[in-house]
Order: sequence, then C-alpha cells, then structure tokens
Amino acid sequence: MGCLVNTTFSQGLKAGSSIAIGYFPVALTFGLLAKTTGLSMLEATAMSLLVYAGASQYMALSLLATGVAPWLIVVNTFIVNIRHFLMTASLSEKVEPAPKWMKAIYAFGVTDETFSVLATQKNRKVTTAFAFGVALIAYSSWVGFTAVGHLIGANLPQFLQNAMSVALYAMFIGLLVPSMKGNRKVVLLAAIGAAIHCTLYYSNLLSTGWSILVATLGSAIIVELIYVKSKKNVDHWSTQQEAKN
Amino acid sequence: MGASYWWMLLGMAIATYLPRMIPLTFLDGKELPPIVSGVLRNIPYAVLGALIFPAILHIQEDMFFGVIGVVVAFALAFIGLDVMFVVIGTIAALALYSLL
Repeated sequence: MGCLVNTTFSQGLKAGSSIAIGYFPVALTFGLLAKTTGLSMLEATAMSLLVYAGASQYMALSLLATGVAPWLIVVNTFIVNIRHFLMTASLSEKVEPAPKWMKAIYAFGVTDETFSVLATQKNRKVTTAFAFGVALIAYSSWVGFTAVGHLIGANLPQFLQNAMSVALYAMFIGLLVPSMKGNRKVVLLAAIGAAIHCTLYYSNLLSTGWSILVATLGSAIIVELIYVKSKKNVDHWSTQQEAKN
Repeated sequence: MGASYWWMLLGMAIATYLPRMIPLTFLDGKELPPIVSGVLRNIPYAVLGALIFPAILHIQEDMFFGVIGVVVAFALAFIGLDVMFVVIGTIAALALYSLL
C-alpha cells in the first residue's frame, strides 16, 4: 500500500477518489441550501465552479441570507482562505518542476483535502500528472454534486447524512496515521497543531480562518526549532521507504 | 440575485485563487534557507492535526459521534488500511451507531 509509487494521472484520480466521496454529502447539502437561500441552479453551480472552497461558500450563503454587503463576503472569503498561502508554499517544495502556467492551473485545485493527499505522498516529488488527477476528480465531485443537490432539492436519509459528515475527517486521519508510525516528529507536529487549534477554538480568540493558520505555523515552527539541532528531517520515514523500494 | 451576485462571485474567486496560486507558482525552484524549507515540510502534518481537531468532535450535536469517528478512523488507519477503506469503514460504523 505505502509502497505504491503514485505518478500517473489515473493514479491521481484513484488517490483523489476518497476526496470525491467526502465531498459528495457536503456539496449535495450546499446545492440544497443554495436553493433554499434563493440562488438559481446556475448561480449555485457557478459558485462551486468558480470559487471552489467549501467553508467560504457555506459562509457566503449564510451572509447572503442575512443581507450582508457583497464586498464584506469577499473579504471574509479571503480571510478564510489565507491558510492556503501556507499550504501552497509547502507544496511548492514537494512538486516536480513544471512550467509556471501549468502550476497556475492545478493550483486552482488546491483545497485542504487535495493538499493533504498530495503532501502526504511517500514519493519524494509529486508529479504534475498525478496532481492534475487528484485535483480533477475532487473538483468534479464538488461541482457535480452541487448541481445535483440543487436539482433534486432533497437530502440523503438523516442517518446516512450524519454518518457521512465524518468522511473528510476520516480521510485526514487515514492520511496522517501512516506517516505517524515510527516518526515522532510527525506525531509531535500533529499533536501540537491540534492542541493550539483547540486552545484558540475554545477560547474564541480567533476566527477559524486565522486559527488554523496560527496553529499550523506555530506547530511547524516550534517542532522545527526542537529538531533543528538533531537535523532530523520530517521526510526521514519516506526516504527510508523509498530506499526499500 | 442580480449583477451584484456575479461581481461577488468574481471577487470570491479571486480571493480564493490568489492564495492558492502565488506561492505554488512563484516559489518554484527557489532555494530557501534550510530552516524555512524545514518549516514548510512540517506544514502538512501540523495542518492535518489542526484540521482534524477540534472539528471532528463537533460534526454532530452528540459529541460521542465524533469520538467514535476518531477512534474508528485511527484504528482502521493504524492496522494499515488504505485511506478509502478508512473513510468507508468509519462512515459504516457511524451509520450503524445512528441507527442503533
């Protein structure tokens, strides 16, 4: 499993399929809510097509419903998505060299979920074809199921909807745990990231957009300072794996 | 919704795209100081911790729901199942829990 070397477009589609499953209930519900907020099918689908950011889209719906000024919704969108600066900066260290325009295209497909899948690949470098595969299947699911949600205007059975709300988090755990095994640095990074975020969340110090950013950067810096003397790399585990292959 | 909706969409699209595009496209091939590059390589694991907690505990009113999700997903991932089966297995466990 961990030994598969993911490089091709179709391997990207396959690796991204758990994201597609996770997006299914979230996008379906978004389509439904958009309809009840008074958006047309075209308007709802266009938001998923052009913006492609779950949290911001849900936020936009609730702000639209309460009559908040459009420019304020745009500002909020930026704040919610500012963490992607960190993710794509991190990803730039991990992807293979490619023409700028090509990177500018698949950068559009970087979400919390696609980032997690790409960044936790065991290969030293992520190929452009693989990145396109992951991005495309996730994006298709998001846009497609937004339209379906608006069209059928009905929810999944309640018990299934409840159960599926765990999908994306289960995926994050499924991506994290293999890297944690035998790598104390990864365990520490995740634990401190979680601890800082919980502290900020329960103390209401920052909005979610900022608190994820602060928790991530805080943990990444603290742990790097702890390890800077021992010169242990976070990729230690993956380089061992590659050596075995 | 009128024209203002479409202007808002355009603004949202730009506000979302720029943070995704600028670092990935323009940090390309730049030799960063080792400490910066080390911090950047730490980001995926730090962000996963922050994305999972505390959000997973609050996916439903019943916090036990999220707790079961955490335990089942960790267990399935720990025994080495592929991500897809971790996702499906956890959904199945919680579907069972909400039917009981």
